[in-house]
Amino acid sequence: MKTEIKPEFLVSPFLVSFLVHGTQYGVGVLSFQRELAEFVGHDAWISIIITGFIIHILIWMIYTMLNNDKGDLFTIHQRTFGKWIGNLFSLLFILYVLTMAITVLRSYIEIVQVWMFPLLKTWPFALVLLLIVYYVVTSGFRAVTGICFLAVVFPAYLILTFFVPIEFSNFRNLLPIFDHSIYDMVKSIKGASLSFSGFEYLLFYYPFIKNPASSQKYAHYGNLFTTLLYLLIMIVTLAFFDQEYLKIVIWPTLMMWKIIKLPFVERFEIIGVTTWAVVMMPIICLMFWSASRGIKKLFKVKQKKALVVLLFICFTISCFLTERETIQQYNQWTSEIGFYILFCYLPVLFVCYHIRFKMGKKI
Amino acid sequence: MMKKAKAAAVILILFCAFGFGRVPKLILDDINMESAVGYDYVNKYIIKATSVLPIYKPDKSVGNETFTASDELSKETLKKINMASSRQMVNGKLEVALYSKELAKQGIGDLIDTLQRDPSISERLFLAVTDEEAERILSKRYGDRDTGIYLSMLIEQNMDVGLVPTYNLHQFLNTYYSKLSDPFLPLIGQKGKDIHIKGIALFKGDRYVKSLRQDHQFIFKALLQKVKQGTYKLRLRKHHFIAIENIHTKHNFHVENKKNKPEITIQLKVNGIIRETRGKKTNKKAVEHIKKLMEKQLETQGTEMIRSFQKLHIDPLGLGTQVRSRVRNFQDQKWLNQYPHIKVNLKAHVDILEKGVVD
Repeated sequence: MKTEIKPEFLVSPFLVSFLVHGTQYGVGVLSFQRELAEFVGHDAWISIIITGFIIHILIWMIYTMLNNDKGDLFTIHQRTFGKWIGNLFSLLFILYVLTMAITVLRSYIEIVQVWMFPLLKTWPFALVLLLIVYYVVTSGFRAVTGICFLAVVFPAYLILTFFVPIEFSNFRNLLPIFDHSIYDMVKSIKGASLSFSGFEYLLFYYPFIKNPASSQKYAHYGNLFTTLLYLLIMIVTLAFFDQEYLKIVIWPTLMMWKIIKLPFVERFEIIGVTTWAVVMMPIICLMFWSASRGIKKLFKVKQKKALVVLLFICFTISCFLTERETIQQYNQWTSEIGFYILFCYLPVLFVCYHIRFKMGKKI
Repeated sequence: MMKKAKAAAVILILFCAFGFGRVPKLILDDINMESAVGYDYVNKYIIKATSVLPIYKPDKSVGNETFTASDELSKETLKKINMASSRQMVNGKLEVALYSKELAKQGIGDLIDTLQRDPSISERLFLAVTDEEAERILSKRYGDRDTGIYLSMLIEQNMDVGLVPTYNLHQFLNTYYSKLSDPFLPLIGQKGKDIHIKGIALFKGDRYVKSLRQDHQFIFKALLQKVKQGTYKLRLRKHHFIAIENIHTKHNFHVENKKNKPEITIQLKVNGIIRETRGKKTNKKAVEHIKKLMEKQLETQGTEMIRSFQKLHIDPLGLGTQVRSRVRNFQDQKWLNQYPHIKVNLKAHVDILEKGVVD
């Protein structure tokens, strides 16, 4: 490795589980049920388990590559595909991270607009959120990790709220089990990919972990926790909604919160949406940190300058996404791209890397 | 220099945020929160909406105010109501939505849409059908509360301990969108000065078709949900009745011959306590007799009711969803064609736990 990270910038290995879970558990949680149930109906919870398992394998692949390389995505790309092509792939990956960041930011603002303030303009809100992002990211990776930790611990009370809809649920909806073909199951994994993405940033922050090789189990714990949480939400959703009804609900999780009634607060989803600001903040922070670090390494510019440019691009694009239909279209594209990057590109990279590495040894 | 530029940028962003990022505020004292809304049929295209809102008077009593407007769209009626009101109307605290029978016959799907599309409306909202014009029911004042709260308490109380199945907006939408079951709503009528729950209005899709017979109400709730605190009037002979109270029930579905033509057997378990008898001793033999009689009566009522549902092609009990959850590769259309000819057996088992403090 060319540049060693100074030890005062490193984070403990156990924090990786917060980093992984914190970035997976984002805006997707509010709406992922619908895309899954579209293909497999009441068997959607099985797809969650399958997807979670596949992600475990992908995490293992990422760690095998990284442990071997003792670097990050950029060194892996350079060693596998050579300097120019490798850097090109890195750049495309950074673009993917940027599009994901826009998705998260715009989806969240849309939720606030639909559920709380219909008259809220996009740009001032985006501006303030991105200002916070700038503040966190410029404070360094340790600050980003801290935000991730907070974002997992602070909204944890929301897990309890997923038990409330059980009062109006019918668990017979889940039967019969395995009523769909394997082909449908595979198609539904595509729908789940967006809500499970977030672990791939390991490729960026790996050098910032103390004893990085020992952090693998924590990454798996993080993903396991995400899977279990999604499983709980999915099962409750399927029991709470009828299949036909679920097909037209855009944000099933928020709909489930609507049934909660507390003596002091009539509409619980307002609290939920507000708490979600804390949940989605670290995701955007980590994404921008990764992207700006990538730009820094590729073009040898200062990270802060790269960050400002990226934030500006994100701000402009999210302001142009104004209608529900365009946002949905955009999200669908990102979801599609995300699926191919995570489930196709990463395994291909893994294979290429190993072929290359073995050949390199022989020579 | 750099630092100054940065500080300027931060101040500019914050200024923009506070300057342009504001949304109009709604102060509790300056808005009208409607607590109930009623819809009436005017003609094929136009509906009449009536909103009720509580007025909190300085002497701590609560009054009522009603507004009525007619239009094609229900949100548009809200706008027209706003024109007549001194404060802005909001619907975040809506408790009850009423539909007149005449309107329900034409279909209420489009009107439900506005309730479901609006994020500020609770999923726990109660829906009900009124026997006469909703406006007439809403324009009166009942009890010491405002009409909206009164209605919601009336319905909720009857769901908890009465014979109305627990049923809110969410459950209505679930059954409304489901292909395999049909919704129903409580039917509210006026009797003299008071309002009362007359029964249950059955729907096919979003259209009212029939109201449930009074004597079928108990078995309807028992087959749909668990009755936790029910009462049942058992007819022994002409003019001889027994009241069974504190009833709690449980039911189980069994489906046979799943592949071709399903046959459904429902086992109903009823536990209750004798509270009042007229012209009957309650020794051991008599209790045994009462049990047998009640079982028979429940079974005949139940099968009669299910037959009438099958004749109307409606499935408020959700038999279709019960069969779906037990059959692999379930085909909706095939089931819907079969439904009127499905054989449904009802087996009741009654246990009289206690008979009060005298024999």
